[in-house]
Amino acid sequence: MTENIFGVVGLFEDPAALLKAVPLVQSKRLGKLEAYTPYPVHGLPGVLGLSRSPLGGMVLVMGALGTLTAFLFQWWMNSVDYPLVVGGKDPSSWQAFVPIMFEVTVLFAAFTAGLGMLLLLNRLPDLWHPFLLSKSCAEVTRDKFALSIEAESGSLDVAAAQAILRQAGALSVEVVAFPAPASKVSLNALLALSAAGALTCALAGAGMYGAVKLFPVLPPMSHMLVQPRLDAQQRGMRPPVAGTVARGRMPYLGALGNPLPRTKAVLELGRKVFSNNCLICHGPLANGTPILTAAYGAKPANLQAKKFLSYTDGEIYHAIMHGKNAMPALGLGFTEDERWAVVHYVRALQRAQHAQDTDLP
Amino acid sequence: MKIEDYASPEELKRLAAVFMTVVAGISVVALFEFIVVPSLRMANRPEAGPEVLPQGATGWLDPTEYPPMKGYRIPPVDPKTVMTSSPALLKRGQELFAKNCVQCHGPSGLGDGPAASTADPRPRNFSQPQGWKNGTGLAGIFKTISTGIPGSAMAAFDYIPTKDRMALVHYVQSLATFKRPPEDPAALAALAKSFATAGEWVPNKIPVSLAMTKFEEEYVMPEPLVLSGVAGRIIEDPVRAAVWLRNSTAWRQGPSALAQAVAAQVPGNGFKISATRLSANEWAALFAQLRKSS
Repeated sequence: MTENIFGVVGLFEDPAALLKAVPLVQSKRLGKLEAYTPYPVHGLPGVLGLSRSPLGGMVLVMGALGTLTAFLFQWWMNSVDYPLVVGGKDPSSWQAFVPIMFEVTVLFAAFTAGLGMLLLLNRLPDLWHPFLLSKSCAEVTRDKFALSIEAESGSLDVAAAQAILRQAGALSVEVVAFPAPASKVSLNALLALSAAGALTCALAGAGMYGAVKLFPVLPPMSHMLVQPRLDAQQRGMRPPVAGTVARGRMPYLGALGNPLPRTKAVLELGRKVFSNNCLICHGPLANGTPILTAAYGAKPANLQAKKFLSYTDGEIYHAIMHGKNAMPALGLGFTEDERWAVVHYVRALQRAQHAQDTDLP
Repeated sequence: MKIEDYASPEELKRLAAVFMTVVAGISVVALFEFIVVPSLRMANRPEAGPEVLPQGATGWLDPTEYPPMKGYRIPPVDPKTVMTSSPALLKRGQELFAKNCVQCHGPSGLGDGPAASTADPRPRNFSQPQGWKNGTGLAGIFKTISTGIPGSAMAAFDYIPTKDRMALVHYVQSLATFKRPPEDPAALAALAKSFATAGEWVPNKIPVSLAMTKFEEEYVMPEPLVLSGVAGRIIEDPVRAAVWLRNSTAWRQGPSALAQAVAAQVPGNGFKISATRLSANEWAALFAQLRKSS
């Protein structure tokens, strides 16, 4: 019989009575002591001899890890993997990372605090805890305070435990047994549950499809040049703060020269930047045959025309920096080296389409 | 605790049956997704023809990797075929107009294309008699299309073959429905003569990767720029400064031009920002030193 006993629970009227009872019960060393209270009682962990919770340390470590993760994440994406100049700022300026770093810190800390406490430290959810099925539990959820002596390694002196709890001033004492094994889940219930899930998914999908089909909220865009975003953000490009010059981006005042040599690395950089940014309009050979002919609605310049063959490097650079007609000013989106590398690559494209006789293999 | 405490052998059998049903379902889906459907697609694919054009080292359709092509000459245009409008010319002109002109001039030539708002001055409205910079005659429109209008968004379409350009001219004239002044016979004669005398040269073409290789091979790196005295302290990157000095021409005109050119691109040209604080004498000394070395 004793191996089926979970423990003996005594109910107390108020926290003071509970706190007074603990040392007396503890002195008998009958089993593991545990208290169940409707709210946290000050001093109880100390009296019960519980160790300090490691949760604070866990939250600190995970919060710091969140900060570091967010920083490395943004630093790698913004300044290593795909450097993107926004508003004339340096791609790796850390100040822009701070809001995300803060949010990820809070996210990691909050998840650690919440889930760590519930799942890791308190081992919840524990829906089949024997105490939950006792009469005392119902009292504890109202206004009583319970102290239980729980069996250690399956044995408990039930009579002695009842006696010491009464002696300590318990209002009532209850012997709590382990509950009978839970009934097994039937196959039919499983099937019904999965059928209900599938039906819910199908209904939600059909409802969403119908809603989007019957009430379209976004009218389709007819032309890239006709969209409200352009006016709101001045042709779609974000300008730098008025009256400021970003570091390394001094405006130029006279005739320009290309500071980059025609090496493999420079030409490959130019090819990459051209392919990612210029090709969509000017075409892969810069001959003004765009990929987006039908959708774009503008005639991009044919850089193989005589006019552009006689352009200086500085004039091409100026067109990238300040745009021309329908072409927006793209310069602030690139570093100076990227712009000059594109100039070299445009020259290579022009050479490819206007090759000398000696170039032919 | 044993597994029998939770499920009887009979129930374990039923669970195993459910598990096997699910695995069988996934296997059937996977069979269709990875084997049956792809092989059906392959079955409908046409046989690769015997003629496969070389398309770049990677084998993908890279538009910059075409086979090298030798240039050739287009024979001169016979003026008789292009000086008077014909349905064939108008049809060709309409095709070219749709490709090259409607974006600004609009589908009916009213100057109301989608990109018209970006051009300053605004593109010509062909239905109005005002503002034709080179006149409304054949020769005038041909000149506008061939050389563009400097100072406006009108580009030079010199890369379109002459015959096609004349087709465009006739099409534009057909859009100008107002009463045009009579053609100038002298201008027409000069235009016809220019067709008869000049053929057109289509240049050689080489793949872009080859053009890049040619650039690399031909390029000779300059010696790093080493300067003495005050000038030595204003160099940030000797190699970059040397490359820049060789590529830019403006500084060669004199000490003040040098000062202006350096200041225009500092620090991107390999000079330090402190270079802008040199005195006139220091610039003169630097200029003399640079001209001697280059």
